[in-house]
Amino acid sequence: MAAPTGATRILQVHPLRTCNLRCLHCYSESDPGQRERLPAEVVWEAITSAKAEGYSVVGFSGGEPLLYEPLGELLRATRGLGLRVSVTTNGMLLDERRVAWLREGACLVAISLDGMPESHNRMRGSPRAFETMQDKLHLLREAGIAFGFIFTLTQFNCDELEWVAGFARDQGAQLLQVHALDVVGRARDSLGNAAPDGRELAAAFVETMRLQAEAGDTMTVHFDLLDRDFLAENPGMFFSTPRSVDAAFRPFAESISPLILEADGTLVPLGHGFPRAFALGNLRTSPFSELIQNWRDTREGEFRSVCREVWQEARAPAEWPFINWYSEVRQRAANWKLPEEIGIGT
Amino acid sequence: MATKTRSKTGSAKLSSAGRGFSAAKLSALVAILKKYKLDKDIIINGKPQPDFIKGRFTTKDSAAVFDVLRRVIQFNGVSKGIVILPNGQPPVIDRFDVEIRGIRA
Repeated sequence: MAAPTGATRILQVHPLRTCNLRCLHCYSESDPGQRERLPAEVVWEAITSAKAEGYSVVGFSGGEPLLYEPLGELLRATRGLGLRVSVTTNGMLLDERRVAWLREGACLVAISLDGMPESHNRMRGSPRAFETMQDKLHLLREAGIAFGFIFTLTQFNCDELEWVAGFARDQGAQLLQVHALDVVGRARDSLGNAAPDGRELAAAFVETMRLQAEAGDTMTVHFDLLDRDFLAENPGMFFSTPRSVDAAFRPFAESISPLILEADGTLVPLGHGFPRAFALGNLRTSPFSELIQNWRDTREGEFRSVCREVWQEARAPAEWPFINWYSEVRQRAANWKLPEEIGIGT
Repeated sequence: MATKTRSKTGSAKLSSAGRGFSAAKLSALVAILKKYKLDKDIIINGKPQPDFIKGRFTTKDSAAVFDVLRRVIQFNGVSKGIVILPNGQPPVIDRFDVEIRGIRA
């Protein structure tokens, strides 16, 4: 069975919420004052359990993952399991010691880049964020580590995509990923009116296609955007079909991808901060196998019903042919009434 | 904390710079690009199948074989707007070593 992440099944790990920056759009509301972090053994249990359940990619994010001291050892061990690994960072803390961690374990380092220097620094809340990051990129190049940039698209910045693509290409990046802003976490307060609308998504789509044509094979330009027609034709890929009769005997990666481990130990489907009513539970207090079994028994059907409603609505005629699927599912899940809340099955 | 947002949207600024499009033109372009993408993808049974590539490819010469392989790899990889990812999750770039016996590039 397919998933929104295609053939890859992703475990996304947020080992801490400590960060050297306090970004306006941070979905995990990380900053220098946050102390929440996971013991390495809990992260390792998640990774080994996920491997056994069919997950093939582990993405480390945060917080700033380069501030997590066990990261190097975890990266090396994760690669040793045969899993592919990515690390998402703001790039400011790269140094020889941390680059050595990445060289041993990371298939790809993804660096956040929010536009031209002035825009990047404004979004990052630091006047030196861009300059410091740029000064560190040579360390990745010299170490031969594949890297790319992640650009957060807002209502106001698709005109900067061309500059960003040129910068990425000049720096030797292999990837430019464009991701539409989700108004979650800190963005709820600081960027409430900045999520791109349909027209901005369409303009960015045209721009990314043009930039991909210009980049050719030197760089992949990836836009996290779902075509409504594709969604309509592939309900199974977006968890919009009933649970299969043999689901309990199949790897859990077929039930959820991506699976998210948050810094407090909570496992949730699809994205950081996903509504807690649909959480699997906490890995600090219960083993992985118990959490997934319980979720299959009590939440998978409801989760699929949420996705089914989003799928049905997405088939209706719309002005623009795109949908921010993760955002739609998250919003619907947040307002969903579970059976026990409306007196069914209690 | 509320921040002051700029008044012009990104697409309006693109238009001001002579690189943007009206809503109608944008809609038409999107439709064309969508069709172009599908035409360029490997189509199996009339629909693209992102996780499953199977078929026989007939090409005119050895160079075209590599073109087909390149498209298959891209299609089964990270592009084409089919793999969608949540906040902060980058695609992982796959590396492929392909050997085609009997054909030398």
